[in-house]
Amino acid sequence: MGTAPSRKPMNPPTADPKRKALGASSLAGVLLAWELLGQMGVISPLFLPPLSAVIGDGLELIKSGDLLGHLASSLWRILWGFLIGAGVGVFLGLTMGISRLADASIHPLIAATYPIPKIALLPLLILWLGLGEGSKIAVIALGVFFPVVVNTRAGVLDVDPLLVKAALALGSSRAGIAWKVLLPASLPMIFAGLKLGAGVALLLLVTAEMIAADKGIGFLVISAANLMQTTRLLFGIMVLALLGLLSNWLLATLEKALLPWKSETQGPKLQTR
Amino acid sequence: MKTKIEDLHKIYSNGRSGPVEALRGVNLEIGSSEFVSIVGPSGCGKSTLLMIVAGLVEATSGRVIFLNERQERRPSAGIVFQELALFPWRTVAGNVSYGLEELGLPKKERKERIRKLLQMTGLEGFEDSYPHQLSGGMKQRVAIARAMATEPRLLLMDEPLSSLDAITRQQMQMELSRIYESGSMSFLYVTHDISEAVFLADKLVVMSKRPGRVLGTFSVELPRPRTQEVRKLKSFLELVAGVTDLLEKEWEPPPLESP
Repeated sequence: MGTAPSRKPMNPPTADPKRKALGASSLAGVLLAWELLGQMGVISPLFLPPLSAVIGDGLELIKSGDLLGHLASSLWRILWGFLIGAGVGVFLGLTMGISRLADASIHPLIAATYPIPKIALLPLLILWLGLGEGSKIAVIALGVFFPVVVNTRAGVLDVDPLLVKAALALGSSRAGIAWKVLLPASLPMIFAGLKLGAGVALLLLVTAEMIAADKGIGFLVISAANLMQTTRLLFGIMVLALLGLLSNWLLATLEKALLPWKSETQGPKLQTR
Repeated sequence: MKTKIEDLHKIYSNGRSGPVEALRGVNLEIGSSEFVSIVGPSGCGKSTLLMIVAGLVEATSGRVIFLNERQERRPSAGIVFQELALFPWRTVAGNVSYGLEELGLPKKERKERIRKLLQMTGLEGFEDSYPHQLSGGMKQRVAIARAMATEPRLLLMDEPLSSLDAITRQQMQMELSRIYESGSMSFLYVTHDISEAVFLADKLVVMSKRPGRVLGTFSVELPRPRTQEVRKLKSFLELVAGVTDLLEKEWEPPPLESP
C-alpha cells in the first residue's frame, strides 16, 4: 500500500484520514514558519509581526469587547443582505422558470444588469439610502441576488419534463407541481447559487465596510492599516477567514439536511461506484 | 370501469421534417378488469396512445371515454412510464405517498395504504430508501406502487420492464399477473416483447407501424393464475407465433442507403 496508487474507488479528498493529517500538518507548518520568521527578526514586525503577537492583540480586542461590536455589525449586515438577496433570488428564479411570460419580461433585465460589478453601485446606493445600514445591506443583497436567481432559473428549466408529467398523472395542480416538483428538483442548483452568493456577500461586506462604515470587520482592517497596526490588520483578516469558513460550513450542513438524496451521489466524477 | 377509445388521431405538427402522423383512427375497448396488451413496431405511436389516455397529450381528433359507474375525484387512470420518472428527492414511501397527498388523504390513512402497497409490491423494509439506492427491479416496483396508490380503475404501462435483465423481467411479469389477478383494475400494457404481451393479456392488440392503426386483436384464453407453466402450453406458443406472423408482414427491411 503506502503511497502507491490503489485500485479502490477514490474517496472525496476530505474523507481520507491520511489526507486530513497531511492538510493539517501543512497548515501548522506555515503558521510555525510565520511565527519563527517574526521571532528571529528576519522580517520587520511592521510588515509581518509574529503569529503570537497577532493573537495577543486579538485577545485584547476580544477582552475589551471591541471585536464583538465589530463582529455584530458585520454579521447583522451580511445576514440581512444574504437573506434578502437569496429570498428574492429564489422567488424570482422560480417564477421565471415556471412562467414563460415572467421569463420573457424579467430575464433580459437580469442578463443586462448581471455584469455590473456590484460594488460600483455602492455610491449610488449611499446616495439613495444614506450612509447607514441600508446601503450596505442593499449592496450585499444585490451581490447575492444575481448568482442565486440565475442558478434557480437554470435549475427549474433543467427539471426533467417527465417528472412534471408523472406529477400531473398523479393529480397535481399547477401550484402543486411548482411546490412539490420544480422546487425540490432544482434545490441542488439553488444551493450551488447560494454558495456562490455567500462568497460574494463576504467580499462585498468587507469592501463596503472599508469604504463607508465606522464599525465592522472591514472597518477594523482598513483603520488598522491606516494606523500601521499590522497585528490588528492581520487579526481582522483571520476573523474574516473564519467567517468565510463558518458560512461555508453552515450552507454545507443545511444542504446535507435538505438534500439527503443528493449527498451520496456526489463526489469526484471519476469515482467508480 | 370500461374505457372506450374512439377513432383517435394524432398529428404532431412540430416534427423536424413537417408534421408527423402518429395515430390514424385507433379504436379500442378495455373492459372492466380486463388486461389489454398492445404490441407493435417501435415508433408506432403506442406511447402516444398511452399519453392521450392518461390525459397528458391532447388528441388531434377522436376521444377517450371512461364509462364509470360513479363520478369520483381520484384520477381514472394511473400511468407507469418507461423511464419510471420516480421523484429522486422522495423516499420509496414518499414516492408512493405523492398521489395520496394530492387526493388530500389524512396522514394516518396514507400511512396505512402505503404499508399495504409496499407489502403487495414486495418493497417492505425499503420505505426509507431513496430511488438511487435501489436496483432496477425495485425501482420498477416503486413506480407500480406509486401509480396504484390512488386506486385508479385503469393502469397504463409503457414498456415498464424493458430495462430489466431477462430473469428479473420474468419475475416481474409474474408479479404483475399476481397484482392484476388479485385486484379489479384494468390494465393497458404496451410492450414490444410478444411473449410478454401474450403472457399477461386477456386481449392482445397488434398495432401497425406509423401511422399507428389497430392491425388485429387476439383474445388470449390461457388459464389463470398465469404461472411459468403457461409459457409451455401449446396454445401459448401458437398465439406467440400468430402475433409474430402478423407483425412480420408489417415489417419491411429499410431501403439500403447508397454509400
